Amino acid sequence: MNVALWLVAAGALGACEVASRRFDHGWPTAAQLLRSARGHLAGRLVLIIAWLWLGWHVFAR
Amino acid sequence: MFVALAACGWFAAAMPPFGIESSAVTFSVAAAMLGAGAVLAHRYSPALDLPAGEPVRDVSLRLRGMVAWLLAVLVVLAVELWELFHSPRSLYPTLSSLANDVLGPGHRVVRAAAFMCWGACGLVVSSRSRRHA
Repeated sequence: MNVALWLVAAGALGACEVASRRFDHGWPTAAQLLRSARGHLAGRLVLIIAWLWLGWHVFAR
Repeated sequence: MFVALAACGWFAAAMPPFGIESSAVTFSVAAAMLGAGAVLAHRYSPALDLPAGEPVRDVSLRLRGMVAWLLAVLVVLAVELWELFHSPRSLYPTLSSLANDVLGPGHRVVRAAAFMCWGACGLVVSSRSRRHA
């Protein structure tokens, strides 16, 4: 049952990406959101911290 | 850089978790990737950039899209927290426990490949995206 919760969560992310492909010139894709975040110092810091946390969590712990 | 990252990934994948060696390798590679990303930011590399897409013409749709993405991320966080604060882990799997089945100790090849991908992502996140005209 709880794997189903993860499928719902993955489906929500997938639905957003599919919607971004269907709506032209509006709904941002994940890549565009990441690009926007990388264009600002605060966004880049958040991404770097998240990336560091992911690496520490998966490979060091 | 690719060969060095692959070598680091191969050795890091064999290290036991919760150890000083695994932490040292992980953070050393992280520092190297961040440094390389910062250097490459001064020498713009299109390979590190993500597609800009078409110019936005519908601002309300973009706003709705961003809200939808935010809600989707909140759903993921909510599921993670729900699973985290319930037990046993076998019935309430978190992202970590799900990933451990694939990336845990004993899966050296997959773990090394994941380490390489993680390192490569560091180059992307640490470099500044260029705004297209």
